[in-house]
Amino acid sequence: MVPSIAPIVIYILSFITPFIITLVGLPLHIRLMHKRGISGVDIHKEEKPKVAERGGIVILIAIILSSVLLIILVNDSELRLSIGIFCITVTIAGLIGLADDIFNLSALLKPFLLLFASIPIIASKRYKTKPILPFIGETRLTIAYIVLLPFIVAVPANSVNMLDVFNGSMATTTIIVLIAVFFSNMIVFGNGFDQLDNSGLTYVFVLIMVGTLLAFWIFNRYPAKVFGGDTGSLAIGGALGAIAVMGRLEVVVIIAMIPFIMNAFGIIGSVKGLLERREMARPTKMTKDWKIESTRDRKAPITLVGLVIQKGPLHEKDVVKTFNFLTIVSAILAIVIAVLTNLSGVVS
Amino acid sequence: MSIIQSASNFVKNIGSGIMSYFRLTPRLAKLIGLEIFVFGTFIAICFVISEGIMRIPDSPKPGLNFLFASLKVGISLLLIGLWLGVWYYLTKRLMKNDRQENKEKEENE
Repeated sequence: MVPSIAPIVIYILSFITPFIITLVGLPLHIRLMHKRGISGVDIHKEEKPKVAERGGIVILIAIILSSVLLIILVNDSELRLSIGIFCITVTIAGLIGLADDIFNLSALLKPFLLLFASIPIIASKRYKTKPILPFIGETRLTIAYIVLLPFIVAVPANSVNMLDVFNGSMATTTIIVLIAVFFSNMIVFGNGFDQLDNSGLTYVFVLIMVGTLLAFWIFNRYPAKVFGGDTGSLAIGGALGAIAVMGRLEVVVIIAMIPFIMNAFGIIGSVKGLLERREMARPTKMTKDWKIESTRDRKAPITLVGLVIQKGPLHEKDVVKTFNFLTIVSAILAIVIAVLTNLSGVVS
Repeated sequence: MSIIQSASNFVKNIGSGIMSYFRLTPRLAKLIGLEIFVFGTFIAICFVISEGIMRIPDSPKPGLNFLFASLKVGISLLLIGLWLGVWYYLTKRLMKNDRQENKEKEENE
């Protein structure tokens, strides 16, 4: 029997454990991938460097090991189950990404399979059919919620995957979303760090993800030494969906992810359906001074990148900054939603 | 290098980092506008549901009460669906307009 550990220690470990695992694991992974020739060309650089792929595997391992450690350390069986369910959901999403990295799944099969990532949450009833909305408070959507639940996990996973196109873009934007979720949880449920209950678990999940992503960003930032691949982006997106459902912060996550959803809307709307990245015409090309500009190809999908480079070419680092800026705005709006929910005094 | 110099360099770096973000805002004006619109309409819908639809009284007759409850949920979901639809339409339109501007610019060149 493990002695009871102070919640603050659990929170600290939730951040530090995945951070260290990712920080130590990625250099080994990079070496291994180069040795096996599993690398991709970074087409946005003049020297066209070869970058190790499938860094998402380390992200997934870090999340799994951290979750296992926390399951051992936490004394409450309900909390243990919730941590396990979160871990399984993220693992399913990550494994679908890994299958896509290895076998190139079709554009329809990938989102379809992602609908099944939410099965552990549904089976273990780690959800409440009462999403919280500003002014309204808890709503009762018994049947509609269960029908929509698979999409709450699959949509963020696909949206994060669609925005993972530049060095560091996925890590920084999702960290911003997670920070918004962290503060929103604090505002909506009024929790401190002195106890570990169901809404305290949201902090744990957010800290696991931020710890992992921060260490990943060190290797994925410009100029990237590793790409996350679909394994990484789907696992992270799946985690955001799981946090939204299990933390009862569905609306906050949707608002914080506005830039991701806009990008997905643009792509789906312009190519009239779901297509794989490799099946679509490239929306961007490089200028002579290695800035990103639009190809102006009518067959290319309309993306967020296309919009920000419309007024002229931009350096890759600046494109990522524009993504960050848009996500900061949506994160602030998400926190406003949390404040309005709290002001309504409607959360029991 | 003294501690004061290091600290001043650190502050300068942060300052120039923030400035580099603000230099990009003119490119993002439309997108930020759309973000705020999406947020604003969502808040407005929540207000309408809270002050309008939720005010529909419960009925003592079970059959009628069920009808009222389904009506409340139905209209609310319809409004949320409409919100998503408008968001999708505006994003698509904004991006298409920009592509049109690009094309015109190219033809003028």
